[in-house]
Amino acid sequence: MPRMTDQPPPPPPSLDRARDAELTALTERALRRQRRELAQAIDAAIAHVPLPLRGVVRRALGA
Amino acid sequence: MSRTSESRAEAAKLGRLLRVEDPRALAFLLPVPAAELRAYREAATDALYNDEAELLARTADVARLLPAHTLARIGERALGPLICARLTSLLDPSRAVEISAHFTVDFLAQLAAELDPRRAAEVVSGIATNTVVAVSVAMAANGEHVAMGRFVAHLDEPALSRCVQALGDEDLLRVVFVMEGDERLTAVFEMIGAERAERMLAAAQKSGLAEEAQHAVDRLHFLAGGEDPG
Repeated sequence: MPRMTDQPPPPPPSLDRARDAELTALTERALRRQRRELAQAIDAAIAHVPLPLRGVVRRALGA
Repeated sequence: MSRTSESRAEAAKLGRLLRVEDPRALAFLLPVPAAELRAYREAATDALYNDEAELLARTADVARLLPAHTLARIGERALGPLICARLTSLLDPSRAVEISAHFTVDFLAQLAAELDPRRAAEVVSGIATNTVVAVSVAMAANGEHVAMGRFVAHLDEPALSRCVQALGDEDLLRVVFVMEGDERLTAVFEMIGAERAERMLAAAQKSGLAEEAQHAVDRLHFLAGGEDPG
């Protein structure tokens, strides 16, 4: 299944060019952290699904 | 309005979105015009909301299989506030409101801090006023003034008025500094009332909120037709 991932937006035009990379790095870090939290959360959530539904949920999530 | 204050307010909002803990780390953004920072924040919000959109959409679909109380338990114990916030905008609003009724106030406060209310306006307006007030007090206690500022434009008058009464003066000033939507600023200060506003603004110097107070005064002056002190 392809991952639907997004890229940081272009930096503000007035931002000092030397600082562009700094802002982009902060945004990339936020995106990576969100992906990691989502992956961990889905794994943890499946364990809380009532047992009879767990297989259906796992298949629906593609997990 | 002071250009630096406008940019500082925007930098604070961007810092909250990107979860930058030390605001000094974004001091390099202060020379950038607020409108550019706002555009970047909105684009970054889109990027965060669009990221892994397919997996989040599948997760929201799965939520239809489970009862609201079970989903609330899974949300609070496993998914956490950030993922629940992302899912909120993908669920049917009435279903999201039903699930939210099973969350604790503390968890709702954490979830709201991660939520973009523009993407869940119907959910926000469907939450009971008593809950909105309790959540706003909990968010203030958590120092989530930037996130609270995003909600001002999305609360109805009775809920907003009760929040204004429930929050302390310093919390209100911090929220006003970053609140979205100038059109509600005058209404907020009418709810605060002249006597409290005067006391609040006078005390701001002592509490280290002089810039926030001056910014509020400048914005009110500008909205009343005065000159932009720029």
